Amino acid sequence: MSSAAPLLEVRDLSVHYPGRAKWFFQKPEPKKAVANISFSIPRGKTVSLVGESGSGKSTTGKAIVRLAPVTTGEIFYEGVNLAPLSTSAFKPYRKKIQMIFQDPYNSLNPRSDILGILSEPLEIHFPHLSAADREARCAQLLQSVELKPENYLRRHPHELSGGQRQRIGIARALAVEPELIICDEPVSALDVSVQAEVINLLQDLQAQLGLTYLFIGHDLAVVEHVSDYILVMSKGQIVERGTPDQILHHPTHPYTQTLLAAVPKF
Amino acid sequence: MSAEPLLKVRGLGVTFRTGDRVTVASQDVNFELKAGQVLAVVGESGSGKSVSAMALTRLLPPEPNCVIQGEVLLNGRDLLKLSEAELTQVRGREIAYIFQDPGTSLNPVYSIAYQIGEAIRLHRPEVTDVSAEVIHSLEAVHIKEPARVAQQYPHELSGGMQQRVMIAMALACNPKILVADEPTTALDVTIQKEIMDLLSRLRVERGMSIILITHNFGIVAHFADLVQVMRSGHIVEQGPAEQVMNQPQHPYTKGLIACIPRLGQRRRRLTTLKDELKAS
Repeated sequence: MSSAAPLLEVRDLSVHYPGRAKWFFQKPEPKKAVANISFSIPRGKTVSLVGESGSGKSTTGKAIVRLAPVTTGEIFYEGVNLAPLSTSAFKPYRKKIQMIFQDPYNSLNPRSDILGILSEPLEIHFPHLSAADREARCAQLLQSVELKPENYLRRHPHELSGGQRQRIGIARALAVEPELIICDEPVSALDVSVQAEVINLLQDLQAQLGLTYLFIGHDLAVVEHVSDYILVMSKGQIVERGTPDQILHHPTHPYTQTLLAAVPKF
Repeated sequence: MSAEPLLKVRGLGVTFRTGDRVTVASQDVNFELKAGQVLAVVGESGSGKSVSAMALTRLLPPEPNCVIQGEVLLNGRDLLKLSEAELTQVRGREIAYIFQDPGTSLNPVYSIAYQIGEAIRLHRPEVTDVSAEVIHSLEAVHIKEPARVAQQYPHELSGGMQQRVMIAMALACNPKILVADEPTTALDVTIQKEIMDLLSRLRVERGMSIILITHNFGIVAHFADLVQVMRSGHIVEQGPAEQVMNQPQHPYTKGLIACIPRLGQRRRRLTTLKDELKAS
């Protein structure tokens, strides 16, 4: 990988969820969602985590933004270890690291209009903005995801299609001017035609704004298209890592070969 | 393939009325399906592919809110002219459905055995040992421990297992036609492959016809005999699968095929439908 210091470096990360005991006198066995994984993401690049459901790829993404508990391990962001930070000390990093979710239907507040959804992060991270400035910024954000502000600012999520909602999710992540975006299966719930549009949009935004992506997915064809570097996860561990070319042409782990065989070819 | 078609659909159209608004969901759908054939219906969301499939057995709101035109001839009998009671005999028994989201299609408060048993008791009253038949149907979809799975509840199963249970339920009554409405969209690629392999095996074993509804041309290639491409309620192209896949005539079909990322063909940008339609 590049010689410059990576933007994000994960060392020996483990995430254990509390399990359930079979009998009340037994000690509950923790569920090991992620077990001792390490990787790094250079600035401006896209690193992907690929694996089937339950492999721990989403949990890894969530642990980085503290949506999942870090059991052991270190997460360095520009050399600072995020894991031991207090909630208030972590707050500035929430602005630098944003997340886009798989299900655009459930990740937007149904009671709020688009202006409200996009304003909320601005109110938290840019409290000095006036209401008029905020609205102007929201309009600009909508333009950057190729939606016309005059048509969308006052609408509610239920009035939008899946692809439009995912664009709003992307605009909300961009609102706080992040450096790293964790894309948790951003196109898995979309039609193939909309999927292509959203992927192109993500790549255009990366080129314009110099963003760094951690892309999480299960379809190797999509992952291969967007990534500079691929990590294959199975049962909480990284079983193979390499450039898209290496993974595609010289897969060494049997699990990677299964994933490759599952992609429809025609 | 000289046999008389099993299903003939002529001029099928669905119109919804809400208040004073009229929405034409699909129009002028024609096709013929022989026993053992697979028809793939491809299109984006909102193109009318699911509505047309539901209209085959009138699984839609009653008139006047929803008007279905045309003829659906199953072995020469027009399904749209049947009474509700007669249709109940057709649904599940002759034409069975599986849907996109197995999690919401299964009843969360009943065990798997009860739910499959219900379908068997309703459509095959001649079966005396229902629980043995339930186990048998779970074996047919290659579930490893059928007796254990039968006693479980939907939330205890993974998405792929839930979809297998849905298929088992649909097949328990030996339908002539299986309508699979985006059966793998909610599943990840490895499970998608398993489910599609299972469906093609079952089709050969039972000589069952399948209508596969999907938005992804990728899974059509090795599976379908016939392809029908729908866009805003109309069929824009239909024909043998190889012909449509290899020499698509309509720009919309070309667009749908072009926008799928393919392994080993890295491009700077993916082609979108808009690019493809603009170019033509």
